[in-house]
Amino acid sequence: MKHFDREEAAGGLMALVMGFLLAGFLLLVTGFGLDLVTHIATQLFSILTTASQMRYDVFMLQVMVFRAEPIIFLLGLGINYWITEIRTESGAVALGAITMGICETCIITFVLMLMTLYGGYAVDYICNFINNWFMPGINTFWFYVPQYIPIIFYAFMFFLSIAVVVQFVILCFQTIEYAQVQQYSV
Amino acid sequence: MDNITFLKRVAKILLFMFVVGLALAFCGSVVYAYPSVSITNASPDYVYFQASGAASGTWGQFKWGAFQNGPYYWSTPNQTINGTTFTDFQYGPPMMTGAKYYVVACDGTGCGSSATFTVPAAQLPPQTAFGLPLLTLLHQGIDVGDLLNDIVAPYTQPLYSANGGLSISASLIWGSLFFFIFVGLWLRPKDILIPCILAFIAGGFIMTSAYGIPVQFMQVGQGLMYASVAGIVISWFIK
Repeated sequence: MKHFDREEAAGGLMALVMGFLLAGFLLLVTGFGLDLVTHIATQLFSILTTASQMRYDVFMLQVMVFRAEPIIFLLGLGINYWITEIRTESGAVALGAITMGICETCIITFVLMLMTLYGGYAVDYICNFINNWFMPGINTFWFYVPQYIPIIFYAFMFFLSIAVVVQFVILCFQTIEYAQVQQYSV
Repeated sequence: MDNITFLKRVAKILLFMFVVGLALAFCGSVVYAYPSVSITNASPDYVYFQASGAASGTWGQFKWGAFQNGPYYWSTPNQTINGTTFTDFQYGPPMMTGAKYYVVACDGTGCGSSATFTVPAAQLPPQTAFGLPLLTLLHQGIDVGDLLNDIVAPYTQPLYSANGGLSISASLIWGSLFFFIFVGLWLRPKDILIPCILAFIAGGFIMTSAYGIPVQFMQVGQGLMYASVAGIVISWFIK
């Protein structure tokens, strides 16, 4: 255990501030990408009107998760800083691991949004096709289970989005416990 | 057989047929009393079904689809009917926005006549504006003076929607950052009185425009003041 390592403490403080500023810039850039996705979605799906409202509800929840990610990053950095202070008294911050973690979180959230919008469109299209497929005499029992596939798909997308954030929060603790070599030091 | 006798026999046959027909019609209305369905709360993702006149003690469910007389591909789970009414709902897919559907209520004896509902148009996600500060920054040729505001923008934008909702002030975000730093410092020597007093003085200087400090830095000064006041109070209590 290191006690009062001044270099690491100074590095940790700088990492905390620089990480905060860099993440702000990173999220501005990815936020611009998200604006394009919502723009395409509003334009495209105002023409392709056959849709499940659940698709847009889940998408909006994912936008909220994305929006909350800067705050989560700030909390993650701060918690990581506290934990190093408590456990090693060094004040070092696992800047590399946490910045990579928030990058992964942003990208995966982004991919999940796209999967919800366009994968959801495919699922809805299949449902709508079956719905308008006139086949008198067919045993409707076979459609009992498939009718729940879209709901499962959207629920899965939503829980994956939450899981991505939870994984990042766990990472903030794990970096100290298992990967001290990744800690930032001057 | 004379004409009168013949007419009497014909009249008896007609009367018999009328009575039998009446009896059959009456019996039929009892045997084939299928449940009727009513629909409420048709929103883009939710619809509520209610059936009445169902046979008690049997199973009941709603079947629905795009065709008036079937086939109805979609159905709600089976339920046991207690009394003569039962209800259920459909949330989300396979219900599609803008589509017209027919629904029937079924029990152990059969299915009733269909009722119809139209799902309202979808509420599309609003256009977000998370990248607007980036465009402003690029348009200004990356103005260093305004950089501080732009970098904090992702942290301070409205939380619930692009057009409104809960927004967080930049001072609060800076305060949170300094709060983490001060608590982190406190965790080592267990005292942060001196750093907090220094931050308090520095924050006070940064907060005022009398020294030509840009407006963007005032928010940093405010955050520093918030965190240092909290630190001084905590330090006081701990001592």
